[in-house]
Amino acid sequence: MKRYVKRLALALSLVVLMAMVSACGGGNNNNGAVETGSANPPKVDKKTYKWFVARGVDSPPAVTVKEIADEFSQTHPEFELVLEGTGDRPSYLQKLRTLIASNEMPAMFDTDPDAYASKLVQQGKLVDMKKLLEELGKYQDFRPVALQYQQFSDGSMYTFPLEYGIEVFWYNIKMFKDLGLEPPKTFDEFMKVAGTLKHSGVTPIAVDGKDKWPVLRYLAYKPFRMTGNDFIENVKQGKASFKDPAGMEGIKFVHDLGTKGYFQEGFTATDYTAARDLFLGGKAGMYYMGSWETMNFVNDKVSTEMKDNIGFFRLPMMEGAKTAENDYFINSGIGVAFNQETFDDTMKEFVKFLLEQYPKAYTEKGQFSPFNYSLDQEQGMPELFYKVQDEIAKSGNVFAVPWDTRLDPATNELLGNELNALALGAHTPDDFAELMDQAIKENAPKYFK
Amino acid sequence: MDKILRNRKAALVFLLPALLVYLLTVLAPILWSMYFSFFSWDGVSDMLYIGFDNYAKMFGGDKTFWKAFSNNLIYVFIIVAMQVFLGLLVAILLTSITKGRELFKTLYFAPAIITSVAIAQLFQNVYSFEPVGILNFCLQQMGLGDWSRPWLSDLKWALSAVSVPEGWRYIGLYMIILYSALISIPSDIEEAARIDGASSWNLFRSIKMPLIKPVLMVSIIMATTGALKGFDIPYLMTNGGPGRVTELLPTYMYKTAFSSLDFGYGSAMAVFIVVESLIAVAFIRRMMDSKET
Repeated sequence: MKRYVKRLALALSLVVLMAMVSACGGGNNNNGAVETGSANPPKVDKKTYKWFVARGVDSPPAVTVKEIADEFSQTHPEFELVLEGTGDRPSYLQKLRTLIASNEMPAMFDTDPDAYASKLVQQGKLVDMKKLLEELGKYQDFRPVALQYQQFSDGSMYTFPLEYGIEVFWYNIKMFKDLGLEPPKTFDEFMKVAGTLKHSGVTPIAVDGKDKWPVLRYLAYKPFRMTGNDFIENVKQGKASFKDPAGMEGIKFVHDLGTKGYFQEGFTATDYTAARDLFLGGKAGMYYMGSWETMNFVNDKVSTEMKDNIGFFRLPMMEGAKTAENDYFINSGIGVAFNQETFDDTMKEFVKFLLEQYPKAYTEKGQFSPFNYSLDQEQGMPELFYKVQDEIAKSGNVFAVPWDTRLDPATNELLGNELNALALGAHTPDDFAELMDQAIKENAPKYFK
Repeated sequence: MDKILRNRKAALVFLLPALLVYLLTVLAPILWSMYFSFFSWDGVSDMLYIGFDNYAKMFGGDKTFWKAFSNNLIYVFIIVAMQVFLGLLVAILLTSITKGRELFKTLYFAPAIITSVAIAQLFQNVYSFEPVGILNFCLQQMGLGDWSRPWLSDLKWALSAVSVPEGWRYIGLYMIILYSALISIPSDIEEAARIDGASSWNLFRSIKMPLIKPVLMVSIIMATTGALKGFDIPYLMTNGGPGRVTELLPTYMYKTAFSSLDFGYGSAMAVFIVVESLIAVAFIRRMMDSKET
């Protein structure tokens, strides 16, 4: 009996061990491209490519690409594209970087031309996009600004864009009219408008403080008007200081907006949709956001009072501005990069097919595409869509770069946190400038040599 | 069955898989973190050995680290106070009622089974200022409009505001644990004390407290270590902001490693958290033991 028990125990523990070992063995099929020799006819070796998406798998660009990929699979049964991702940018980046650190870089993924991506380039991990687009004869199909946005500061390019947008201040037309306000043309006027709105008991500006980048834009406005992109390109390497006039103007601007209560109360905890809803609910006068929101301002979910009640104005000017009125933040969104290791002929063919199909498919979803492609009046799009399309056609060639795509990751992390504190009045502008200079001194040398 | 359990070798064999799992999932990562903490590594380029530099930075000049540390202590204090002491209070009240006891137990326990994300969302709405959340609404209705504020953006109150949901959530769990301890006290002891003329307070202090002390100690240890590694709710609600007001060591560690891409320094903090938790447990045990003598 005793012996029997012993054997049983041993056998049981063996079973457990086996289960564990086999579980370990099964865990390695999430690599970029996996060959699964399927036994079913037709006998093709199916290759699965993973696209790690930064915009939510149901966002218009992702849906469009997926549709095109499925179409491509019909003629190329060996090809399959699977999407995985999240629209929450900070957690997307964390996941992506963890995947790459553990040698599991996806076949396709989204990235900005930031300091981290440039490290990947140095390691030879990304496909040279400029070369690829020229080889495919597609380079000229894009809007020049759309491609410029994807470039590193040295002009090289390792991603291509799927979106295109200008960033403007949206405002509540009726609210402005009732108070006798005109859309501001200069920052002085902007502050006055905000003051009047505040005085009349309305929140002047709705801002998403939780995602950090929308507040970061406010810091960048004045430096962009004063120096173009020179300030950020220099300061990120420690070649300029936040105590320089451009830096201080930007810092004071955010400090003023925050401490005067021009952002909604509690803005640091407001997320993307909550901020937009404040504006769409008629509770805030102004809202700075990209043209990618256009269709959300005209769809059926918007209340009848707000329909046709939304206008937009450009980034205000200031005295001695180096950039023109039609120069502002324009971006072509986070770009798509390809893993050099898994980039084969099938993938190349897919990219070619994608670039042919994408402009039309994407624009018809009411989006602005990075390609030289626009819809005419007969397509029956809402009026606001055509207004924005006109503005895009009029926009300049100098565009502001988002600071978070330029700074090194550690400084970025700190800036995002402390900027909200600055707006709440926890730092004086001078202290804040000092803090940022210190952070750059410490972190930048690791990324910019 | 009885025979199997009496066989020590068999028991050891059955324990082996659990031990292996434990070694792989707990001990290995800790050792791995220790190893990483001696390097400067961003996850892409080559790892660079830098000796104790990460620790020197941590104990030397990193203000954010110490800010996170002191925040964490306040966080622990609020959470232990809420979970264990409110839990104990509710448990005592439960023992004194008979009608509806099960109902209250279930109701109080319910938050413990809700996921962190839902709780974070729930409290974000409770604290919200614009549109007005339920807390600010109640304050305004009670004529305490001056007290209403954007709790999660307030530099003074944000830390307490993110601590409360985590504390609230597990009151029910500790209530159940302590309640079971309380009702396991033999009723004859209680009766004897009552006959000797002990008041309710004396009964609680001199009879019940010593008897449930081991359970109370386990509860305090669980609540403390749980709070020392507190992450999800503060991270979801404020992400450490505004500024560093609600930064805890685990959130700072996570961000350092995965956002700032300093895996070495992040690992050094992870090691610190392990050591800190061990010290906290030892400290609590000492404190509870010394009370006895």
